[in-house]
Amino acid sequence: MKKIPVLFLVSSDIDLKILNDSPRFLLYCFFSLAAIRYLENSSSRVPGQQLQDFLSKKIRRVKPLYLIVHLGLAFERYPVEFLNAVLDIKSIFPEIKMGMDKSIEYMLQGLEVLDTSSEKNKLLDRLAQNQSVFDMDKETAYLVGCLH
Amino acid sequence: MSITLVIVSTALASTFGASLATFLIQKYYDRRLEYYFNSRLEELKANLNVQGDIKNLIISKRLEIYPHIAELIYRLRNNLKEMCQKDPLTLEQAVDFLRFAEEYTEQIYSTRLYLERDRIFESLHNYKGHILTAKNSLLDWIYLTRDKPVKNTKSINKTMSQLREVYSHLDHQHRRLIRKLTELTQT
Repeated sequence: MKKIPVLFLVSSDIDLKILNDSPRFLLYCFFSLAAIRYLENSSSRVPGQQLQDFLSKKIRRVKPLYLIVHLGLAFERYPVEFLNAVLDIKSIFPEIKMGMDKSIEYMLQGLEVLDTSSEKNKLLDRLAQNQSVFDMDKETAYLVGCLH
Repeated sequence: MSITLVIVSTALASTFGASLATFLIQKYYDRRLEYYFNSRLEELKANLNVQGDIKNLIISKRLEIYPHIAELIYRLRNNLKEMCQKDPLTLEQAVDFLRFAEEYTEQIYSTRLYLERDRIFESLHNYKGHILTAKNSLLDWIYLTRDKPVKNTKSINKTMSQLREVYSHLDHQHRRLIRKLTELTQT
């Protein structure tokens, strides 16, 4: 039986053994990408470019049906870079079902700490245009539960 | 009037004028300096008050939040210990753990600004990682025991051993975290 690939975008490495062995998720095969390492030492001028590059590569290799995004440390420390990378990925791979593990309110709260209003406004505009990233079907929401 | 008198009186008048001007200028600058230092002093006092207020806010937030987080750390570890020791574990115990796990996660995220400032967020987040593993194992256990538990004995045992492994991590970390939170509450 061919399993459905699911990619988690998390802050740092997580152990997927339990989920991959889980009787609840026999239909799925889980993969992850730790975002923080591509944000901490990024030399790219475009915010989040390095993360976006690695995430694109991983998506091309794994071909996930779902991309589950964890709004954790990586988002809190690098909100602009992180969200730009996620929104870029959504536009490059529109067929991927995306799920976020926290609400849009939480995300906006995270953006409050930004000093530079131009960056924030640009990002808020992008978020407003891509609000659908927060819409989840039942199955995506179920998979998001793995990260809660 | 002799010319000498004129010269002397002119010299005196100009000396007086110069002295008066110097005196007035000095007074003016004295006032300016006094005003400048007084306003700086007021600014510093206000800054000190703000800093004092912030310090008090942080102390009261620590007193309000940290003991509760410490309690949750302890409860999660104890709850998991009981589940690993008792055979079979009960659904009530599993549900209790899931409830505490949710509360713990919510607490550390909602208060992360204070926790980050005190450089303890990362350790608490790491503890949360183990709790998430336990949560997923417990959900597996619930799933496996819901129907045909006999048929699933092997998988149930595997889940139990995963829980024991998570317990060893929680047991190893919980004392250090509680000690650190307690120290921060007392400072």
